[in-house]
Amino acid sequence: MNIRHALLFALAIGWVVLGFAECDSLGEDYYDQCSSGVVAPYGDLNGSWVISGNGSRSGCSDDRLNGEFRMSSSTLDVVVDGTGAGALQLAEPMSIPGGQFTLSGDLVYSGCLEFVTRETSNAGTIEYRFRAINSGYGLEGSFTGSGPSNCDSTGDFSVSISDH
Amino acid sequence: MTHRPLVLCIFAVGLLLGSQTAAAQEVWTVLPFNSRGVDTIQTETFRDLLQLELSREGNRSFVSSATMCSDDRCARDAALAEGADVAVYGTLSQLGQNIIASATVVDATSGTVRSAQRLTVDRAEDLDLVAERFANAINSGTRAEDIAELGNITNEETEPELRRDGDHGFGLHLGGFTPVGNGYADAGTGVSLGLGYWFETLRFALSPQVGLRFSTTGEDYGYFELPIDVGAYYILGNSDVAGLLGGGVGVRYISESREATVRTGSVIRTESTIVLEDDGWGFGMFAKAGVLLLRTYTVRLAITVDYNVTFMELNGRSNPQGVGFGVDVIF
Repeated sequence: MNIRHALLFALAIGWVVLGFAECDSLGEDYYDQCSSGVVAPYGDLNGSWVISGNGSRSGCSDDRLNGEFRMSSSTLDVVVDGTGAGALQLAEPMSIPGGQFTLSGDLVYSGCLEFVTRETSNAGTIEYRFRAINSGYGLEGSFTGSGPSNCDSTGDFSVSISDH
Repeated sequence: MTHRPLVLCIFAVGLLLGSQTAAAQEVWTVLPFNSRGVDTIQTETFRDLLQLELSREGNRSFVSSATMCSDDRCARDAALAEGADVAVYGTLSQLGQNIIASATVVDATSGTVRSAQRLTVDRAEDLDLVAERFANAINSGTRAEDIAELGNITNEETEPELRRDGDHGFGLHLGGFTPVGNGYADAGTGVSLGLGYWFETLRFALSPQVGLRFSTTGEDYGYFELPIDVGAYYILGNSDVAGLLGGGVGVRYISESREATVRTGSVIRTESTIVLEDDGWGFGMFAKAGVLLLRTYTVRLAITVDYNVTFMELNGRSNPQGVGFGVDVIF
């Protein structure tokens, strides 16, 4: 490896590290980070997604739901079609007992994405809005949500993606 | 027509009735009673009371006599000397704390005993009741002991029969309690304490007890119980080591804090752990077995195991049950 390659490699590492360092907050800085180019492209987002995280609920009509919770998901087959709004979708529609599950999202930039999950059943509708950034260690981010039982939720999550 | 025949007739009838009445009346004499360790005045008073009670019968007249007798022949002779048909003689004897009163009625004509009475009293104040009972018994031909009536029951007769005493004292219980099934918040083995009163006879024991059972998890979940029980036991043996078998019933207060998992969603799933609180009173039962040690000593030891069930529902789970074990020290 010559010096030029080494410098480019160092620059890439720094870019990734900087992107990770800037990943602490995905609130107001989210679009700034994404638009500034500090977030490296993730790569292939097509695959089997598994979401995990932690959060807390408040304002629930059912008091048992207020408080902290752990989040996990079934395996979601996600495909990315193009870029921009609506680029993220489920490969196949998912039915659940007594209802339906949908996922749709926007590839904001190659390393930033937003997606919404909506689960509708006899128990009501639960919706989560995820904002993820390529942290260098994977897709991580924060979410907000509504339902069930009039709950409002917030938390952090990560996505592990494997090939189909 | 003259009235002479009518008058004569009336006179004859009156004479006849008078003679009949005179013939029905017996002459009695109540002789002075012997006194052995009893105050003579009390003895004389008793004699007077007896004569008074006997005179209530009617158809009797009494003559006095100064002769004191201790046997039937003497009494008969005394009666004949006074022209009496019946003689009554007797004795008041001091025996410990008691006074024994006895009276004998002798027929002067035949020399036979018409009646013999005896009663024991524990205080002199009851001698008037004795006189009444004697008179009733003599008149009815029964025994004075058999005719206790309201108003003439002596103090000794009213005293309750002495009951056998047992060994008794306070007891202290120290041990543990292990929930069985899904009751008691699934909190595992906890501590059991108790304070009771132990009453023990040769073969049986009775013990009311108040206890305290609580979990020792140190977590947000656990239980607290206040059992108030009464137990009855059969003791197998009289030596220093004896088996113990029994059970009991009671009421219990149980408070439970139980962990529960709350889940939402079926694709994006959330899971959280909450603590459900519930408490209440319930009726309970238990069966107990064990070993009683040092039975012949004033301080005893019991090692026991018991199975408890309380009929109530907490956090949707019915009839919490558990096994208790421990040591009881009985003072």
